[in-house]
Amino acid sequence: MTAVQMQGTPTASASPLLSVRDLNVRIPTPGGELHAVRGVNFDLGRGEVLGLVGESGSGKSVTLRALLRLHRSPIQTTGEVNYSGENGATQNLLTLPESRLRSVRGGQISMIFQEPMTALNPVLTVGEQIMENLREHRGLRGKAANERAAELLDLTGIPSPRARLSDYPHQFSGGMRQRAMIAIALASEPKLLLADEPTTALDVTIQDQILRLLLRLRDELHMSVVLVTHDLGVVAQTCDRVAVMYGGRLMETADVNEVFAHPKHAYTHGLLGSLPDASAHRLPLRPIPGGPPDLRRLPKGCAFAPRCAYVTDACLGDEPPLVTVAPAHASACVHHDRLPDLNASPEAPL
Amino acid sequence: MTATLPVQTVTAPAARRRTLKPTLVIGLLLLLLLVLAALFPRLFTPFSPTDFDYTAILKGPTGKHPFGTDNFGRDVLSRVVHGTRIDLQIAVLTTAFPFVFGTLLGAVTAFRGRWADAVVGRVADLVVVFPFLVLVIAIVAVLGPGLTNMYIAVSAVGWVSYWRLTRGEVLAQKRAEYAQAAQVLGYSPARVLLRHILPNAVTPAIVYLMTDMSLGILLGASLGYLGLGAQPPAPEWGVMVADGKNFMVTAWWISTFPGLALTLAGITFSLIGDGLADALRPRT
Repeated sequence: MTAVQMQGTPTASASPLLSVRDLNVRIPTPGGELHAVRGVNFDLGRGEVLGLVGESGSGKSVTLRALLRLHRSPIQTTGEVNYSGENGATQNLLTLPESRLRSVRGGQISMIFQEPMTALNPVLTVGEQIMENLREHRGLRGKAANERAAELLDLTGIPSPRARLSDYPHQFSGGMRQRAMIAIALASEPKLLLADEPTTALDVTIQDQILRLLLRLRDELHMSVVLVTHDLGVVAQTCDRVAVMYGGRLMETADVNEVFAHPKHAYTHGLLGSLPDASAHRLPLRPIPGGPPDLRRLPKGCAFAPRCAYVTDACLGDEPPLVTVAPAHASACVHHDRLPDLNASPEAPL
Repeated sequence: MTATLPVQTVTAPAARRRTLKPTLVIGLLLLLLLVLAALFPRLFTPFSPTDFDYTAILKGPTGKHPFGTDNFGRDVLSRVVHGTRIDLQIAVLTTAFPFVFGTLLGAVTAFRGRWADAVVGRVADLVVVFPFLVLVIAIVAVLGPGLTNMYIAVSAVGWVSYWRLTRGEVLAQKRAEYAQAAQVLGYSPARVLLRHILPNAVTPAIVYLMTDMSLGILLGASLGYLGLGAQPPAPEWGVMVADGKNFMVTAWWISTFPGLALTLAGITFSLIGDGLADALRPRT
């Protein structure tokens, strides 16, 4: 199985499963309002794996949680999250009544978390936690639920699944817990899986297994996936399309190969430049100088401008919008057409 | 590489039972003894707790009356054993309502928050500004002495501790990822709270329940001693201590043995509470 499957690539015109429009999340803090997500737009096709990439504090996890309206007052979430479920009707999840939203949560859209050590309930057995979802969203009970739960554990690659149903989470290792969490989330056969850094807490070999598992399940269950990560290696391995976030905004969206081959945003450019390169001689890494911006006091113009190697006066005016710069490739960089080739020295003048 | 590895069957490790702490075992054995005494007092003594025997007044411990007799010739051992039923009943009934009510209220107010939490919090503040015993005595004084009124009085005051304990724990647990995960799975708030959060948050309340039971017995005995709880001739340990206080110098056994019984009951519940704190801690 190849890591990136082109059959999953969406056609932008076909009705997307999820369509996010002008998503904003505002968090009141003692130091002023923190505008964590600022006008994010994206579409997610059926069967597509979208990678949401960014540094810590770029707003990627906040965006993901906003999709399911998990932010409680006083945090404000505005915009539209249009979800087109099985019956073809499109619902805006941000305005849906709480009772209808509950049938979408879990039933249509599931979520897995970063920390498998804390995301499983320690006082319920793994089997009870899977069967609870089966009962709630698939109406399965008793023996049928038990059978299906064992199947799900088997599907996620847990050995002797029937015996392990009666185990508690603390009897599982980290990688096994992540598998168990995936089994719980997928018990309801959702159409969309939201994965919040699902492999960050795992070591590299387990990480690889879990990512392969997610891709396999994507194919078997015909799901779409939104994968939040800060790891570009994970993105390259799993995603069809990438959305790069910085300072609460989308900076660039494109197919994964396109992003890695021809980044059209200075930030993506810097991110890729800062990766260790296995083929080259051992050179010092080239990190992006500075740190992520304070979302309470954003600079005027492009949020990345203060750290950007290619900054000009044009970047400091109005905040540049995300515009289509090539087929299926959008960028919010003023200088998207003037970025040098990736392999060129970043010190090269524009 | 074409060599194949032998297929290995992987078996899940057998669920390991946690070894119970010795304190819990001893505590449970003592509780068994107390429950036996409460249910089948005749196993321990042939005498009635209330029958007078004017031929054996204020007799010291003998083979026939191991704990001696009191000023009416009643067998002290028999009264202590029969008192177990009343005092265990006091332990359960002074704590059952505060535990259930306080725990559920704490869970709901912590989960819902906002004005309900604020209102209940102020009521709780109002209750705790008065010393516990003084408040209970005041309520009993208004309602009149007797066990039923004592239960009402203790319940009106005792829920606050459980409310505080559970509220704090639920506040912490509802931020845990598994609670979010349950919400994300589309479960109703009631289910998220009662099935997922509360079992993880109730341990401190259960441990405190054990402490509170021994405190409840002592409180019942105190009120009995003061004449506000169980009424004579009921063989309640506090009442018996009060009965014997005038004879402390000449007939020490009348007060001493019920006092020792109180101590034993207190130790029993303390040992169980200590053991449960360890046994109920959720593993991660």
